[in-house]
Parts: sequence; structure tokens; C-alpha cells
Amino acid sequence: MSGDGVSVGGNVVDNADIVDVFHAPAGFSFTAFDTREITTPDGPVSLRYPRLDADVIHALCDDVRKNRNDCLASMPVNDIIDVLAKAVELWTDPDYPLRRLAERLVPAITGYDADMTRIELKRYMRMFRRRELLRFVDDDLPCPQMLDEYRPNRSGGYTRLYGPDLSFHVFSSNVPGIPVWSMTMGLLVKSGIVGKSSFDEPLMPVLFAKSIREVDPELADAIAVVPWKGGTEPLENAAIGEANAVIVYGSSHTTELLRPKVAESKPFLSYGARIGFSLVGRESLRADCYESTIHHMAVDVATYDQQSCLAAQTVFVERGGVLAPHETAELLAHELESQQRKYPRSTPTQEESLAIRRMRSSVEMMSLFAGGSGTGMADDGSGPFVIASPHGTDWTVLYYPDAASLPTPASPLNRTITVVAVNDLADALPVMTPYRQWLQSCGVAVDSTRLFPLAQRVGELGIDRICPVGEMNRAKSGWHHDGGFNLLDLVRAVDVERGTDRFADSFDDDFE
Amino acid sequence: MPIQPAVSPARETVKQAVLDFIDRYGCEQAPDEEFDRLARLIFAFQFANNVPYRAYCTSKRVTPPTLDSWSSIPPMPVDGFKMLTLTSTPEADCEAVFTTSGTTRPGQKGRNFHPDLEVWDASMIGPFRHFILPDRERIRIGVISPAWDMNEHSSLSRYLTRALEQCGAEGSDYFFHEQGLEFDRIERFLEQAVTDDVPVMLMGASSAYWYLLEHLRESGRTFVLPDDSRLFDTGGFKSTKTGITVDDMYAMFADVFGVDRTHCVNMYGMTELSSQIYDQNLLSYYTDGSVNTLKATPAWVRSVMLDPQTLTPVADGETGVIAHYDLANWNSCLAILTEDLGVRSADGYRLLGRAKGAEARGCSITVDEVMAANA
Repeated sequence: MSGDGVSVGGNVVDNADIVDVFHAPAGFSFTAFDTREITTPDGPVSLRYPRLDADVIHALCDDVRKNRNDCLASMPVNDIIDVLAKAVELWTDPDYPLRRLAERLVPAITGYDADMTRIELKRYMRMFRRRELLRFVDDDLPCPQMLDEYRPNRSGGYTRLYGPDLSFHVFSSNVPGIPVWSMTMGLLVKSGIVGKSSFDEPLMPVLFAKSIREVDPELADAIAVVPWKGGTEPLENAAIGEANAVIVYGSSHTTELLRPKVAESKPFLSYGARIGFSLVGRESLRADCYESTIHHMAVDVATYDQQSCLAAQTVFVERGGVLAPHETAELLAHELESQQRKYPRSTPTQEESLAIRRMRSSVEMMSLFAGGSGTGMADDGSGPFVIASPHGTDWTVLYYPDAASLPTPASPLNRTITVVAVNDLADALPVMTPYRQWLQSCGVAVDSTRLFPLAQRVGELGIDRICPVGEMNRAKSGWHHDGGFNLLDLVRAVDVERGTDRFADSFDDDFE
Repeated sequence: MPIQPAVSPARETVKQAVLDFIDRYGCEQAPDEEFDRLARLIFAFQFANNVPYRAYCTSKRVTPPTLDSWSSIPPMPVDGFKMLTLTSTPEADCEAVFTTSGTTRPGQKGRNFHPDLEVWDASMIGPFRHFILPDRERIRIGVISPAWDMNEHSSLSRYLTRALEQCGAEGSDYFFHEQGLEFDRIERFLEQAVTDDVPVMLMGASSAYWYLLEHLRESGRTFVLPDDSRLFDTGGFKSTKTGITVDDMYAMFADVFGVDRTHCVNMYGMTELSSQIYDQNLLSYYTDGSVNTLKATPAWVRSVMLDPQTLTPVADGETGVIAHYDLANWNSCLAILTEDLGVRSADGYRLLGRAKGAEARGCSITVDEVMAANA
């Protein structure tokens, strides 16, 4: 399972049997490696990664920082955008070898359905094309060139924005490709990147770094990505000590473990657990549109099996449409079954299956208690019920007749969706209030007269992203991730104050 | 409306059939046909008279006429015992109702209704003698958990009292009263056993041992109890303060009481059942000198490990969630689905304890985390 050897810079050894799941600056050598076997439809593949200790991490950080100072630090932001855009453009070619590699290996590593992964990855990478990168930059910064030089600010002086020399990124594995977002933001503020990837999906950040190398090897040398087991303190302490900023994706457990280790003076951004919900208005359940609304609802549940923080866990459905909420639940169940046939769910762990079982039986018991039949459709939707997939725990629809009876808007995930009937969408909001700390995405299917009034209300509730039902898992370029700023939160501003320029002028020989 | 069977077996017929089965097979392996025959009779009785259970079975599309085997009887999730009134005899006609301590979700206690305790008592005593006292009729017993007179809604209290009444030798006593554990009297009880050189058995909830050990550690007392002494615990050592494992606990037992692993025995019981399940090490020790700590059931109980995904049985050696088919549970539901995990091998099964909550793989959040944070 392990082998010693020397690899320079971690080039992709893709002879189909061994794939490197790490990236390091050219010239950096690791002394020993381990491998993990995965099974793909084309046979077994070994994922190779370096053996690490704190010294290796320190050396890696040194190298990345030095390369960053030599090249990236002085690169105009427009040039960085160009490099990233060209690297991403490579991924728009279906035959691009790294894309092919990702499409082959990511499903095998994560268990996600291959077709779903292929489609979602394709969509995802397109979010980082040139015109989209401009959104990230221009949305946060009134004058992006402030990243390059002192530019006039609105208070009469000049401002220059400095990103961290080195940022340490802890990537999660729940949704393939997410590290690309975090790496892109780091590079746009001219930060060297040391990324800790997860063994549950170590590939995408590495492949993205390789694509950058194809376009601009020097820029790629300001990046290192290595996997290790989360919670390995010597490695994490080393990386946190070296970095000027720490960005963590993952469960609250992960972020709470790391947060105390980061000095107060360093930016610490964490993207943790969230509960997504959606609001389905009666107008979206008209005879001419209910089918597509329900399809979109199912997509929000099926995509990456709700493992993304963006996913819907509870849907509030308004009474008064052509379809009643309990009928909507029933049709949603059918649609989830058809999603299951197209894009089968990944295999959950025993604990995950048990959690679903427990949730199902608890609602069944509520239903029996209320005099219903437990499972299957309720006759009139007046009591809670469960619709369970014909096989195992593939998908589950839990139905509650009113918001008051909803015990929790959080789902055991893996395609378990709660449908709550409400007389008015506004009735959903008080129920969500106690969960403010976990709120983020809210899918909506309402007409244009209601959109902004509703957005106003859910914004007050703590939501930071409102999107169409069906798009919940696909955040758009420039989104203020968890309500923060993608670039601004990473930089520090230096002002040359108003008058300093005039004062400097006063020392000119021919100053008047 | 769910289909009603034409006739329900009479209550007395069902109860007598269960008593006969217990009497006939004891802790032997009953023939599958016999187990199946009685399971069907009880199921038909429960289906006809236990309204919420009938609704549940109907929703699972299982009725007595369509039942193919006892193992297809839908196991009632333990949650059902909390929320529903699961009885085939009107509540008012039930002599006893046992309730769970309700520690997992305060305020919601599981309830098991018993029209009378004849079957319960019969189900208790045989296996107790078989698995706990294979070498003798009686033993000097010290009970260190609340007895029947303190809590008549606790099946464990009834169990401990029955054990002492039926199998306690002279000098047996209860050591748990209103103020809690009577440490001084327990110490004297143990001293006396050493002085008399008479084997004793302590019996109580696993958590009671924790308090007792803590006390003895403070007072610095240790004992070397006479040969054949035994320590009986139930409930498991989980959730009590530290991350102490069963092995740690039994190692401490050896140090403090001088009782080896061979003589420490765990009983697996649930309020929702009417029978108990035992470690086999005392039995195997006195039979052939081996130490088989795997669990075994009497003839009228079958524990099945199910795949949590599909709720179909897993192969031996694979972990599954445990469903119990307990024919002595003739009034409520004979089949129950636990939240415990277990793994079976040829000689019995190992209880792995309650399934831990699922943790989300990434930045999504699961019910358990939200519940934990809001608790």
C-alpha cells in the first residue's frame, strides 16, 4: 500500500493505474508516498499522496510563499483573471484529459452518480469563465486595480488592497469542485495557497491546480494541495502558524476545532453547516406550471444528495393552488423516484440510513397517532404522513399539514425532504426563526409581485441567498458566500490619506 | 378502512399458547414451524385488537392472511411505544404498565401494557436460572437498583425483585432506597460474604456500578469475593460521564471485587419487550469452562440483524440494526425495531449499542446536530 520514491512537483502520473492527488510547486520533492485504492468501472486505481509531517508542511509553506512573492504578488489582477479564465476554459472541452479524468474518478471516489457528477461539474466550472470572474472582482471591489496599486478612493485619498501572503484552505468533500471557488478567491487577492484536501474527494483542487500549471507554471507554483486526515494537529498547527489567513469548509465540528488555533489578527473565514429551505407559492402550482415546479423541487433534493449546504431540506408549499400541498408531496415523491432512476443516490452509511429510518418512523408514529395510516398518501392532507421509496432509503418525503407540527426543518439528508403545508408563505417564517444561525439559501417559486416583499422578509430572517427553486445547489458567480464578501473579507486596505499627496508635492523643487 | 380479520383468537387462548411454548421449549431452540405458528396466532390477535399496530401493518401491506413468515411481521419502531397506545387489551383492563425512563427525550416515555404479569413472570424466571445460575438453585443476592416496591412502572424493578424472591439465598437484600444507594450496607454485605466465604451476586443497572465503584475508590475499599460470586449488570455502560468502555468496567470489577470477566454478566432488556437476553459466559463457564460473552435468547425470542437501508436481514458477521420477535410480548407488539446495532456469529450476537447519530459529510447539517445544539 505504500511506496518510497521521489516525485518532483507532483506531476500527474495518469497511466490509468496511479493518480497523484496532490500538487506542489515545481522542484518541491516529497520523500515518501502512500496510496489508496479505489474501484472504477475501468478497474482499480491507486490514489497517491505524500507522507507528511510538520517539517514538510513548513517547507511547503515556505516554498509557496516564496514563489508567491516572486511572481503572483506583482501580477496585475487582470493577468491573474486571464490565467484563471484560460485554465477554466480548458474544462469546457469535453475531451480535455483532466476533465475526463475527473469524470472517471470523482464518482468512484465520492459515490455520486456519474452522470450527475459530469453535468454538475461542467456547470460548476463554467462559473469561473472570464466574464464570471469579473463579477466576483467587480462585485466586491469598487476599483479592482486597488489590488495592484494605490488608486483614488472616495474620501480624497488613495487605497491599495493587500491579500494575505499565504492562505491556508481546509477543503470539504461534500460537493466536488467547491475548492475551486476558494482557490480562485485566494489567487485573485494574490495569496499563495496551501490547501488541505479531504480523502473523500482529494482530486478536483489538484486538477484545477494542474490546469493552471498548463497555462502559467509560475502561478501554479504559488499553490500546494495535499490531503491529510482532518484533525491531524501537527500538520494543521504548522499550516495555521504559517498562513496569514485561514479558510475552512466543513462541519461545525471542523470549524470549531480550528477556530481557536487561529490568532485573532488573522482572517478566519468558515463555511459550515446550513439548512436550506424553499417557499413554493400557490401560483407556481397552476395547471400549466406545476409539473416543472415539482421537477425543480426534486432537483434541489437529488443534486449531490443534499450534501451541499445549499440544498433544500424543507419545502413550504402554499395552499390554494391547483395542487394541494399533500398532492404536491405525492408528485414530488414520483419525481424523486424518476430522479433515482436517472441519477441513483450514493450509498449512505449505516448511520445515515438509520437516521432516515428513525425520521421516517417518527413521522409514521405521528401519523398513526393522528389516526392516519402512517405511510402512503393521506386522503386529504390533514395529518402528517411519509412517502418512502420502494427500495431502501433511496428517497423520502415527509409531510406535515401545518408549520406548527414541524419538529425540525433539518433533514437527515440523502434525499429526505420535508414538505410543510402553509396557508400563506409568510407562515413559514416564524418556524425558521430559531434556526437563524444555520440559514443561508432560500429557493422561491413565487410571482414577481411577491418576490421582493418576500425577499425583504427572508432577508430579515437571516437568509443570505434567494434563488429559483431548482437552482438551490447552483450558487452563481459573485454570490456573497454566507453573506460575506469573497474578496473583501480576505484583504486589508492601506490608505494614503487625503492631503498626503499634496504634502509630498510640497517637497518638489518647483512646487508653488 | 383496513381489512379486519373475520375472527380474532381469544385472549386466553393466545396467553395460554405462549405459556405452553415457554414451558415446553425453555432456552432450547424451538422448531421454526412452532415459532412461526405461535407468532402467527399472536399477530392475528394483535392485528385484530391493537388498533394503531393494525394501521401500521396495513400501511406496510402486511395482514395475517397475507403473512408469509414470522420474519415478515412488521417490527414496531421503539418510537411507537412512546407516541401510541399499543395494546390489544383495553388500557383500563391492564394490570401493569411498564414505562421507560425517558432519558433520551424527556417527557416522552415508552409504555408497554400488560393485562397481567403471568407471561412476563414465566418469561423472566426460566432464562434467568438458565443463564445466570446454571450451577445452583439460589445465591445470596444484593440488589443495587430500585426494587418493585419503589417503582412499579419499572420492568427492571420487577425483574430484580422477582430474581431475589425466587432465587435469593439467605442474606439476600435490597440496597437501594429513597435516598439512593446505601453504600455502607453494601460494604457490610460484601464483607459478610468474605467472612462467610459464601458466593454472592450483585444485581443492578450498569450505572449503579459506576456510583458504587466511585464510592469504593474514595473509601479505598477492595474485596476479593468468594469463588462463584458474580456481578450482574444491565443497561450498558454508555453515556455515564466518561468514555468508559465495557472492558474498562470489567477490568475495574476485577480489581475492586475480585470477580473475573467469566463471572460478570450483562442482561439486555427493554421495557418494550417481555423477555430478557443474556451474555452466555456464566452458562458456558459452568458447562465447558469456556467464556462465551455473546448474547443469547430464550426459545420464544428471536433477534434479527437488519440492514438499515433495506430492513432485510444481514449475513452473520455483518452489523445490522436489531429487531426482536418476542412471543411473550403477546399484548402489545411481538415484533419491535430497536435503534441498537448488533452483529451475529454462530455462537450468539454482540450488542454494539445504540447507533450514533449520522454526521453530515460536508457543510450540510443533519437533524442530530441541530437537536444537539438546541438541546
